[in-house]
Amino acid sequence: MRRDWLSRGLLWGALALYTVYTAGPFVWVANMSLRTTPEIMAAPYAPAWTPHWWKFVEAWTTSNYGTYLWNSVAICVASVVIVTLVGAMAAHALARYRFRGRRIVGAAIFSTIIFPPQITIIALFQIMVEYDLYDTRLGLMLVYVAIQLPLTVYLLEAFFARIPEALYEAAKIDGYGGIEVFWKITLPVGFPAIATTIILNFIHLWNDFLYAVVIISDDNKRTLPLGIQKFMGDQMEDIGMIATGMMIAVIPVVLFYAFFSERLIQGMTAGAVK
Amino acid sequence: MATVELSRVWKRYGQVPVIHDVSLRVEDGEFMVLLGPSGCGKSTTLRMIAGLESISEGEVRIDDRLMNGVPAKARDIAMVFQSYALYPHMNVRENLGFGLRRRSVPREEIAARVAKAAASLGLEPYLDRRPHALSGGQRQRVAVGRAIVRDPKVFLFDEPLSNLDAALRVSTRAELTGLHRRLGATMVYVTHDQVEAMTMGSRICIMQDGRVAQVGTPMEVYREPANAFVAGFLGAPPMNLLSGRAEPIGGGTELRVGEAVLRLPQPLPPGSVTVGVRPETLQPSGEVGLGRLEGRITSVEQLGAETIVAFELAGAATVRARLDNTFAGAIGEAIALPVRPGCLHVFDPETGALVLRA
Amino acid sequence: MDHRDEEARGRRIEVAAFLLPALLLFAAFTAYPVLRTFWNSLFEIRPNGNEIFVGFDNFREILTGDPVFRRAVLNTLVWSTVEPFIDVGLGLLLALALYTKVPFARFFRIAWFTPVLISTVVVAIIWSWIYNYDWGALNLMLRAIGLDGMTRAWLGDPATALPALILADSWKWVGFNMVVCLAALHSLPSEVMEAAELDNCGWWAKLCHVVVPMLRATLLNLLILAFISRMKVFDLVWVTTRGGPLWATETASTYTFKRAFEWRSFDLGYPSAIAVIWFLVVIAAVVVLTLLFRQRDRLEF
Repeated sequence: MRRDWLSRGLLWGALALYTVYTAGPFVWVANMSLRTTPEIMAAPYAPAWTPHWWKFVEAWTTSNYGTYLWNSVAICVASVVIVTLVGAMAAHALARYRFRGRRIVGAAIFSTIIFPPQITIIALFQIMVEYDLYDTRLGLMLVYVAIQLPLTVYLLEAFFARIPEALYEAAKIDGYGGIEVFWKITLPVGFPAIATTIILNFIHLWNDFLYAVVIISDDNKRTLPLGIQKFMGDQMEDIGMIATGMMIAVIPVVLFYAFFSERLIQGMTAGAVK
Repeated sequence: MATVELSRVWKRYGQVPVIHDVSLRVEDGEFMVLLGPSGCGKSTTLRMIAGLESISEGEVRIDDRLMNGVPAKARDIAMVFQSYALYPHMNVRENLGFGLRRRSVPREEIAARVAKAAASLGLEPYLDRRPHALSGGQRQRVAVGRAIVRDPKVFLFDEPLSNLDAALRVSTRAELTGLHRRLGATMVYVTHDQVEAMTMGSRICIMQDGRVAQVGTPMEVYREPANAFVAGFLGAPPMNLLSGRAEPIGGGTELRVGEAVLRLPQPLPPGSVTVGVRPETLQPSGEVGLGRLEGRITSVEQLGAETIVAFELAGAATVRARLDNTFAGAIGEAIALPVRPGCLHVFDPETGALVLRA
Repeated sequence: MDHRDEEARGRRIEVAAFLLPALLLFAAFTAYPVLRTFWNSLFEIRPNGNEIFVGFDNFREILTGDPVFRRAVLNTLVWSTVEPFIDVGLGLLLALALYTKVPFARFFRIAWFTPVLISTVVVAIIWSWIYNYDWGALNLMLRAIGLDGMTRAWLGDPATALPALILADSWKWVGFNMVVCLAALHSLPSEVMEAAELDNCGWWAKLCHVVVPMLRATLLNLLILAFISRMKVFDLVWVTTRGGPLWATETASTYTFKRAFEWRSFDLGYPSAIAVIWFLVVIAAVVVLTLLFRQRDRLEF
């Protein structure tokens, strides 16, 4: 009995230590986000005895984080809405209709899930330049829709295919045709899967750096990851301001997480579990 | 109110026919049961009436209007599915009204019709519930209610009771019969359960391998089966089907079944036959009838109200008899039961077709 | 007959309408760029639009005369073989700890999963600070326990930069593997774990003989997934070291990016060829891994 208690205590201690390891850096950055760079340089790990909330105001107004946040929100929301709708339509077609070429279309789209990004990114850059989409939010949004589309169709098709056919037959007898059943049956009945893909896509795009760095160069069109990164690597890193920017990028995700933790975990792991 | 008529209907998947030349007329206000084992084509036939399957050949008419190519929604039919197919994201009220909303029925009328259907099915307390919060029996009633509110020309049922437990099935059977009486509507009902067919149907259409085996009232198909398949499919225990030989004697016939000999007044050509006798027609009595079936008892099943006795007919197969509960025989004892006149069926062993009833 | 043709045509129109937006986007921003990259790889492409056909010269150059590419491949392969085992192994151990119902399991699970949701850019900045020579947490801790000799600029030293980045990346991804393992554990029939409990075998034996074999499919999946993701690693390197010092953290992705957009070489053909080679490597790896493990599975059952 004593040994049992001891080993459980040890296990719990190890887990607590690991929690410090995963959560500690957040606490540290959150702390720094409320301190000025001179304060941080003097004592990097001192708590923010006098929290400088004005730093968030300043980040917003003078450091352009307001613009970055707005760009991130606008581009991500637009991309997620479009990719969800377009992806759900395609998944509906693949799941509910038997037509020639169905398997080929599915295989072509799904196989690109594993493609490394560099196989498209140089050509995407060229296309963006050629069609005046380079350095535009529209261009980045289109790319975002395209890169999230295969996984979205894949996840939704698998779910839609499990909706019983009788539901569609009942709707057919009730008088609902091809487009209507998509709105009135597939979307509402498939809502759990759709919510999952919305979360997955949103987190991926919110955190994207690679495509943004290739397509966006103007400071006023930067998304949050780009905006934060801009401050890195300068001769005089304004650590305090970077930390504030990082919190602005992290807080929406954490808030989202606080409310929907189960669904979010489910969404993020959806692609991994067969 | 409407009639449903299928004439020479075929259904093929690719080259493979699954429905062969089916013709059937359902009269106005009739409760027609399509009965048969799984895979006999009864559901496919129903789905062709509904417009959920295309018709490869032949004609389907509802109310004398040609329905081939008319989409399901324009046929003015309602269907109750085996799985009920309730819309999971709508509550009962919305489920009931969904079909009416599409047909741009005025809002107040939808409400009135939903309320009326809900009242008649006892669904009022559940109108705001989603299907997952209902019991199996309640879901089944919502599915029926969804059909009722539409007030269609024809009701189609696809094994609507098979997902219910036994007790609920009995009471729901009575409810559906009552519904049919009340509405007086034309109904086509698919089932593999002969008790449902016998108790509910105005007429029964028995199907086998994509063909119509026999159409008739429940007692007709039971008493006068048109072939050995129908004879063997109906009744529990089913009709005894024994292989025997016919030999003409004088103006009549002698049927040899194992060592038993049955004498018929009618003439039959010589050769093999299948002899059918219903278990309940075999009763102990002093008479000889058409002849006696004799053998040793191999099992006695006492069901309370009655006793099912099986005995090994000398030189032939097992025969079952349905006797009353006073029967006192035991396994191994000899038994001899007369075949009553009018209760003997003779079938062609090749085609199964009825040759003679005696 | 006419009506049936009509119905079939109606269905075809519906299918086309549902698929068209997705197919257009797919064609324009996935299929076409892939093909164009293949095409590009055979050219030297100058920014003024001049395209000079060079055949397979780019490939020859990359495979025979480009030490940086070789270094990048080596780094990426090290990264993508080492990290999956850390991620999945640690993830499995943590999942088992939660499975045994320690107190505050829910809190632990949420805390451990948080890094998965954080932008890699943020992760990169956090860890570049942790690894800072002067005030980074790692060196401070080493000094605190008297190991001053071991302190260094972790990302500035070619010997430690790659392991340091692998550690930082696994900090982000362990939680993901933990959650998937936990879900898989919960989907196991509980009798199996109880039976192992009754057999009274040690936890290590239980891990090796009960848990790992039963979770084999999930663990393999996770390993393959981690392997493939690490083959694409970019953000973390780009924000912290840009492939330095001395190519110590150069990966296939960062090198492609560098040759395309950073070096003022203004040639998109050469990086396209790198991308094609790496694309083929990734596809080959996926195919081989899937075939390998599927083969094994078939033999076992």
